[in-house]
Amino acid sequence: MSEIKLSSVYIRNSEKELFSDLSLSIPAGSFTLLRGGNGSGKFLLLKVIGGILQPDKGEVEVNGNEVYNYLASENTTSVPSAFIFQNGAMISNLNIGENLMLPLDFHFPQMPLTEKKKKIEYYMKLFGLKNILNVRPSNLEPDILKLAGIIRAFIVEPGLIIMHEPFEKLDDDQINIFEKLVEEEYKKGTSFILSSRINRKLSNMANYIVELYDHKIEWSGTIDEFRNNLILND
Amino acid sequence: MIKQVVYFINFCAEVLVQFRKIIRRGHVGIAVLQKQILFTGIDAFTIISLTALVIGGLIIIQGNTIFVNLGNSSIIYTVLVSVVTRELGTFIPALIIVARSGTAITTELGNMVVNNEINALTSMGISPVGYLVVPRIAGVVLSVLPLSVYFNIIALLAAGAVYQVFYDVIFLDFIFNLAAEIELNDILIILIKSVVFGYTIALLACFHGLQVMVASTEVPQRTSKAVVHSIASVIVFDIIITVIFYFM
Repeated sequence: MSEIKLSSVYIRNSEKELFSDLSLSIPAGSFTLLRGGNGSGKFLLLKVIGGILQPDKGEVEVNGNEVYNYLASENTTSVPSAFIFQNGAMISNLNIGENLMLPLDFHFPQMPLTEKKKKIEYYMKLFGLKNILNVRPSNLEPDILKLAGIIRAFIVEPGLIIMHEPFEKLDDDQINIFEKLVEEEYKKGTSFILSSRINRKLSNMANYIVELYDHKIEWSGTIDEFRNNLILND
Repeated sequence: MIKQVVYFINFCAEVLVQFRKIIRRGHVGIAVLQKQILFTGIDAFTIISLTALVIGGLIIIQGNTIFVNLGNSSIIYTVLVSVVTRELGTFIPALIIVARSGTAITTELGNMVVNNEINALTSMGISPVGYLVVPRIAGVVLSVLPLSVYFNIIALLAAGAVYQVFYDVIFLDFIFNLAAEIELNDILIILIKSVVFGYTIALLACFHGLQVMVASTEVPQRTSKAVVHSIASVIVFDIIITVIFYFM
């Protein structure tokens, strides 16, 4: 379970201010749905929460740890968060097996090789993937790459999984397996953040909503507060 | 411009920090290092051999004509050591590495940025500098050094072969005369220049690759910048090291 706290986050690029004084608090164990139109800053916010992008000012804490520095310290004892990217983002000069082994080797150096292979095999079977471990990403279809990216996130058993457009490129069967996996992990205590243009069953699992508009938090709160807010506005 | 310089300084500092962690990360970085040595070092042997053969042979053909006319053909050995060992023996391999490996590194890292692969590594808690940059720099340095030594050997042997075939100078005499000309400083300069050139080329190639922001159109632009900066840096360091060694 991971509590997420952003305090006065400020980010600018060479041209303009992207986030100015953005604060947000998401309770531990939440399934958060991140809403917002194109260009509202959803991916940027996810990158900040995932420790990929260090804010120019302000703090981002996941489970009490300043996430960017925590990741940079290469603490291998726990994995605060994992990210599912829109395109899978598999490392192109490694084959799929090496790609999946990489986070395991890095975070669990003491884990026996057989156990690591067993873990990979488990997820391969779950998604019905065969004979792809020795194949480079460039030789695989986008849906397979996406599934490999999903496996890479789940395999390290992180406290928080950040999902950016996870349904894109997947067919219905693949989405059903994925949704079942997310449900199981959520019951075990993993937090999730979902940003998706496609509405699926998972979107209805959300118990916390964050709405972004033009790089600002338009609204954030529990699903009940969100519904009440909608009723009041109507 | 100032922001770029600050970023570059920070990048260099991060590289040094990550170099210290290389042993801890050995189990995941070693494969990257091996691939870099294979590509930069072993795969470059053919082009290095060809260039060395041509340079060594041409110096004898061009030089002998001039020095025989001047009435002092033995000066050819001094010229060979000055030109091949002290300068071209490290400079030419460095240029070849810029063209082959520097461009490849920038393009590869640039495309990795565009495909979110760098983001993926960071999200896993794996430092892109530690995992991608440090093994590449180490790989290039470890490749440039033997390539430069190899270039020198091939160029000098080619010179000896051409001397014997075209000008009837006995090969063994050539070797002994040449050996008499080579000083300890000449060997040392090969080692120092190789390490400095290799480090600079790989550092700049990685820096420019990671400077790609979002679009794949930035990749060729960054690659061309990396080439220009690498060649300029190699020339500047070449002058500085030569001045330190032979004029101070």
